[in-house]
Amino acid sequence: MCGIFGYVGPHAGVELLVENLKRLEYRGYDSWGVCLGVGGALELHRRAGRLSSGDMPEQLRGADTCWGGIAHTRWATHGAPNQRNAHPHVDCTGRLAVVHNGIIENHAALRETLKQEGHCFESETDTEVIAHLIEEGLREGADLRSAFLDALKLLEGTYGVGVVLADRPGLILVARHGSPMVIGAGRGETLVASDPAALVARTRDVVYLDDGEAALLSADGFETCDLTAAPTNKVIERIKFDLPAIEKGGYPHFMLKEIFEQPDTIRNAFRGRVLREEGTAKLGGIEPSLLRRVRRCHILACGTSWHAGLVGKYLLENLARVPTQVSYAAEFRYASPVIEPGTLVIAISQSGETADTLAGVREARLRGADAIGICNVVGSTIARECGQGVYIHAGPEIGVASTKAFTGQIVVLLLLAIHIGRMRGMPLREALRYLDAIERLPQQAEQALACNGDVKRVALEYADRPNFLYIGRLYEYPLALEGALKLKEISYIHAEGIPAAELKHGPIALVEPRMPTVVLGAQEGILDKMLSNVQEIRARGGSIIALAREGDRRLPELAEQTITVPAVADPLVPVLATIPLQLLAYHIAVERGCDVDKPRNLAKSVTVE
Amino acid sequence: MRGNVVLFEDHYVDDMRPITLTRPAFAVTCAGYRLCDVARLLADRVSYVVREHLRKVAAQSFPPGEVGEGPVLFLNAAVAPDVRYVPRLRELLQAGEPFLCTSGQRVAAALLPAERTLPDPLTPADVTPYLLGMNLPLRDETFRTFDYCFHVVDALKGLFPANIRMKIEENGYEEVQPGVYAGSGVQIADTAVFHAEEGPIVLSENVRILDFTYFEGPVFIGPDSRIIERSSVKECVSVGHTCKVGGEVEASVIEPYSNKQHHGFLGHSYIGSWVNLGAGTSNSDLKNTYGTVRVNIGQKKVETGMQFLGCIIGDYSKSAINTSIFTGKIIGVASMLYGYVGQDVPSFCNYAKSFGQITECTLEQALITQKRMFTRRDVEQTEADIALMGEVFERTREGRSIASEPPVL
Repeated sequence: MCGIFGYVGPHAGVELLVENLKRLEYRGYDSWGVCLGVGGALELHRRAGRLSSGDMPEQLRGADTCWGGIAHTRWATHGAPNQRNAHPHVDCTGRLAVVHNGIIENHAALRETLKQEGHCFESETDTEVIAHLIEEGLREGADLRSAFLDALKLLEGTYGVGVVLADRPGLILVARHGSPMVIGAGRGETLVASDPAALVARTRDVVYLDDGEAALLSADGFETCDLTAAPTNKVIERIKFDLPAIEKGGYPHFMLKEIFEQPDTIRNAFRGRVLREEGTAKLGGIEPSLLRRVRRCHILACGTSWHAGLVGKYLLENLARVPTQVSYAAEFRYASPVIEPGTLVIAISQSGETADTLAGVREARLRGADAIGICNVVGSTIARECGQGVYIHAGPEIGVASTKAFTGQIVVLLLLAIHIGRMRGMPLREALRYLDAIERLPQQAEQALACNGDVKRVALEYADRPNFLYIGRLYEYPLALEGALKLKEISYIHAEGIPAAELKHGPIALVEPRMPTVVLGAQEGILDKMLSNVQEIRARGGSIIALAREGDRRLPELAEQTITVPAVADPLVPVLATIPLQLLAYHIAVERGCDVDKPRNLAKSVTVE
Repeated sequence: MRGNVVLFEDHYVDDMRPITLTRPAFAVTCAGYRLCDVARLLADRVSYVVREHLRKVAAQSFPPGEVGEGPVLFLNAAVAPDVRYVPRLRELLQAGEPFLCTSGQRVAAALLPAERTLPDPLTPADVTPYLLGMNLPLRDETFRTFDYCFHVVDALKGLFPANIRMKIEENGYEEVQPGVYAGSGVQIADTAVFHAEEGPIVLSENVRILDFTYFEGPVFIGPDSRIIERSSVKECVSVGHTCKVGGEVEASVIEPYSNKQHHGFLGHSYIGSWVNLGAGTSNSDLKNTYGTVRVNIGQKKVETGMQFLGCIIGDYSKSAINTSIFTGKIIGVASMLYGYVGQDVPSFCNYAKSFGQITECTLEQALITQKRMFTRRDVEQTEADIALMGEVFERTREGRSIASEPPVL
């Protein structure tokens, strides 16, 4: 949540700040702001609404003495999304500005104390206390770095924070605790951002700050230290993706681009990991000994990743015969979880920064579990804290509604299930069949994408409906949840995903002619049961949009609309069958005039609890 | 019948210990056949890939053939020697269409096309990856493999009917009594009783059946073996050549050159070569609970699913008089048993727990005993035999140290 960008160097200017901040807009877009250091002064510009909605701060353009600045795009937590609460926030003097990502949990107490000291607050945000705390330190005679570090020590909660001071031109202070901060080491310039996507236009050499670390940035470079000011050693890493990966590439929306990238991203998820010579999957990021001692798995995730986790449960139980539980990470953390010996916690997060999932991992490890991460963003916090795991290598996912990360996560979970399964006696033949089938998935994903025209036609017909039901069984039950979530996220239509057999235990009361039901029936093994459920809906006048397996004639006969996907083994169905669901949500949202890439109230990486 | 067959061991072959410690997996007998015998029914050129320590000894008994032109059928050395596989494998070999089929965790068989280049040398460690890496089409054929030693006993009943019919057909044995087939030189006492209602009884060349013996088929007795007076041999017994068998034997395999000459019960068991079971040696093959038997394979417990399972005894082991072996016990190579055997016995152990002692049997003693036994049967003790014994002694050293009750060294 919230995106931070900072720059210090010879090309400083509002255009540079805004251009790169736009690449973080997926993290929050209800208000934004920039603060430029111009000579010995700060110039502030803040607005409610989206960065892309115009209203650029023309008055700042071309300032010759601009040495750098900080910028922020906000996903509101404390205080309404208006101009007053937009970052950066300043201290009482207006000579110190702060941008912040995260939540300061003790902000109310700090605010009271600071007020008693005479500080005046302008916003309702938790962030503003940081500015006043540093101001207080400076007032007591501390140098800027000491005042900054001392202020951080008083904070409870999470932060990625950036600070500029009018009296210290050419310097940006940053720190991290629970919210990502990445420093970019350019030539004669230094950058900082919440996500390397905002750095890649200027440099691919980056340093990931760890929790409890701070850094002083200048055009000449950076120095890192811990909160006691002791220097820390950092290694410069190289970002693997490039600028086109984070641009739309001719598509009207990032989401559509990312849906159509799936043949490649699916391939990237298994590339180099299919070890046919041994009839297993190779997961180099996980110690084999760790997997050999697994007695049960506990998957932690949120949102779409949680749905991937549900698919993972079926995969791990069916293919690897490992008892598996899936928890919402936030629920897990506070539910006093029971971690039995031999429990492997699998944290799934596209960004690798999801605060709830990260907290769940920490809780699980405290209770003795081994943890691995399944993440997309290389070097992300969850990936680093777990120490072991698998990257899905889907490339930057900018669309707020996750698409290619979901299919990548399922492919990796498939590989994991095969890998553990082979250790636990999965027959070689079964493993080979799945491995061969996985290698065919990219081509079949291309075929699945060919349904785009059909899906669009269905979308146009149903876009005015206020409610949708999605039903599925086994591997398609998580897809029903995911299909409904996609529709909710970007089209604002109420939708429910339901296990098909549960329909008759209540939700069938909702069925009437205006209620479309999306029936997921691409699995072969459970089709007969699905057909019975479809008959129940038809008997009550409900309309059916069927997702059918290529070659199946029975389900289409019962449906008003049918979209087909290539026939694959049931455990692989979620990879392909999700594609039409993504397209359906997309086209309905576009038809309804919704902003697909920036749906209201949402942000890409949920880095607050 | 032209064609190439390569019998290959893989990295799972050690799970068949102790049987495969001293012999290639294709040289394990079940229902009268070894896989190498079955392979010769398939093709004229049979070669093999075995573990390094077995190569010389294997070459003594099985001169290695060369792979010629044409398709190559790779057959896992642990595939059960079931002659029912022959027609299907021959058909596949002649069709020449590449395929790969599996059995559990292993590659069971694969056919490589004529235009193939085989890696040289091939070792058990790299055959399976090589075959899997060829991306051969998977075929749903079932070729059972012996994954654990007890599978040999488990497979007896299933393999016997077809295998024994093939024995009769292949050797042209004469039916000397209803259901009793004999080769040349067979001597049968007048008082011997044969029941062949459930399967034939096959007596190979020069077998001697002494007085008051009782047979219930199917039974196969290998050449030059002797069935001692008053013995009872019944229901799926496969005896190798040059054996002496007495007492009661049921549903068991006895490999060549082994003796169970005296009274005592042997049931649902596998006895390696050069084994001698002393008078009164008996094994149990049924738990008092009538439940299925679990066995120890290395450090893991394996459920056999078998209600009847006796013992597995590796080559060169011996038992003293009145040795009693409990249900499902696995006895290693070149061990000596005394008294009650209530637990598995590692290789090269003097197991006399009843008398308070488990000690290591030295390599020197094992070699001396081997020489004495070989001499009695006019078999030369070669350098390869000596080297193999030494190699197996070393390979089993760790097993002795981690046994539930390690021997006193």
